[in-house]
Amino acid sequence: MVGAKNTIYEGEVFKLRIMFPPQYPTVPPSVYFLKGNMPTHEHVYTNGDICLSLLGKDWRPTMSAQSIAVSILSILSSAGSKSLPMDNAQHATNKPGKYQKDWVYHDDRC
Amino acid sequence: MSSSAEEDEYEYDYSDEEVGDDDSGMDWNPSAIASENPNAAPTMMYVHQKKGIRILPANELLPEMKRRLKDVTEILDISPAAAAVLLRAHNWSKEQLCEVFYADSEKILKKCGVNHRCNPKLPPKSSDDNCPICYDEMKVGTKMAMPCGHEFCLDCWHDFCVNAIKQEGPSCVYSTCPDASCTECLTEVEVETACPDYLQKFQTFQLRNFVQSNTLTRWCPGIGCERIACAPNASAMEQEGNVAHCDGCCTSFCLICGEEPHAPSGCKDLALWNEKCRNESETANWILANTKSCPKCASRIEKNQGCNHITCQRCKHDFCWICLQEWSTHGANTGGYYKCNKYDSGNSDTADQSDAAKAKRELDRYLHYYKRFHAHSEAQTFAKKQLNETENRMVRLQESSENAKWSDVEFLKTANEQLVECRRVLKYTYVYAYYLNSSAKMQKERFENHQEMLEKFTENLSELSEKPLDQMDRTEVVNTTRVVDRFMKNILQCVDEGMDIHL
Repeated sequence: MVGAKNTIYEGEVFKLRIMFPPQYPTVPPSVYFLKGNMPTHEHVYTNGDICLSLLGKDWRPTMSAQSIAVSILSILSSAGSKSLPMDNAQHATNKPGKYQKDWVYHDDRC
Repeated sequence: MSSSAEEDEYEYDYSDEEVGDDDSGMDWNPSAIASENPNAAPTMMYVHQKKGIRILPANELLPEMKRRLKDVTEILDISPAAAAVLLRAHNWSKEQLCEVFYADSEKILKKCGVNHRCNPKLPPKSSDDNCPICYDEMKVGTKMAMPCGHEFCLDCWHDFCVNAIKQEGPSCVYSTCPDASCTECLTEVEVETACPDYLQKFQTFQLRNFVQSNTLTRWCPGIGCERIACAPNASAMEQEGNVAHCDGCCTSFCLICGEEPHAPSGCKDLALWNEKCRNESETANWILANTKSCPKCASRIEKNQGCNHITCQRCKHDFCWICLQEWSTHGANTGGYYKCNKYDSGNSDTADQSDAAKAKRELDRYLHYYKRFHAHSEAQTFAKKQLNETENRMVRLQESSENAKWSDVEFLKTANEQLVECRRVLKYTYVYAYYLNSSAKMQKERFENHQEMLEKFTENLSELSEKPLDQMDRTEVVNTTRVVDRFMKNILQCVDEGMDIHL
């Protein structure tokens, strides 16, 4: 994924891992950024996890990997500054890509 | 335990409740209320739940839920599935729902996701014969759609419903159409068709939702307990100190907040107190009270010994602990070296100082109450443990004395139960005292006097009941138990009477 033009991530290249579980598309795919190629963003933990409600409670079976990619690009593009999530310290040591059950999303507008 | 088993035999019914009555109230048959068990130990009387509170197994509330559904179905002329969704969104209150429904029915139907269900139009037939989820071809008879018209194959519907029920748990009742842009709400109609095996689970979640949003009911907080406490009417729910006692798992709890019975402190105070003890805001207060910021680099410094000449570890700034001015200004004019009698009220630092003093005072006050609260809490746990062993002690005591009957040793159990009660009440007297308005001086003195007495005699009883069996003095234990019971009732009564001053 390449940071969109006229955004603070312009030209930066990020790598994502997308894994489709056997129950896909009933459950969302697991999507996270790979170490070394991840953006510094309010909704991206340093373990690669992305705080995005589409990957958890707002997932619908009619969505696709494409709709997730568009959403991720959109949260990156709408960012005004590069900062870490507030609760990064608690989450950063977790294994990335787990099913986002019971997550509280920082900002459901994104 | 005093809650008698025969209470189970009493019937309650809803049949005498008129349709159109305020449905937030549930009428219990007044004759069904059990009289207090005359054989119950006198010490447990106070924990005995108020008359009218009923403990019911979860499924006994099902008829009441169905009755409300039926009412709404008839009044608004909608399907039962839609009625369930609408009632759920309005705390299961018929009045609340009807009010908003008649104000703007279209808006409310859309908001709750039952618009299509209540206004059936022939949905546009999808030209696509492939399931939008799995892209497999859908044959006639293998596809299904909610009234919104979004068709998916039955296999995908099955997976979708099962996943919702398994993953979302109780909140699966809020699931919506698999189509990303559709807000139509999933109901038991679809669950029944797509995965009949899970219908019962879905209905259980529905009932759970009913109990939770009903203002007169509360799940028993006992672990794994599936019973529900019901208050007879709204006013009973509002009274402080409404204690329910579950006869299934022997848990006593406050009907209003679900916590352990906490008289004399109120639910709100208890919630505040628990919050206070949970989050470590007091740590921050301690820092404020015992440290000062270096006036140059603002790092926090704790002065635990030594003189007033402070050299900041970080920026090496020399300053005076008392007035926070530069140390170089100190000498004969400040009362001599290493002394400082300077006090400048115009200085901005004084605000910090008074804040710090205030925080320290507040912290001391909190710690005073917390220490005692904690001590009684520990003692309560200990007394509960002791209660479990009491039976053994009773057997041994009976064997040790000749011609002793079981009723002759029962005083030991009574004393121990009393002890648990007193520890719990004492524990919460400190929560009550912490939030007691400091201006109600008379009441406070009276309260503290009662508290002191109860504490004194509780300790007394505790000592007596822990004595080795051969030194056990039955008359003394029985008398002290009675005295302690009196003091406990006194303090609760004192609080009841003085409630207005506190609020």
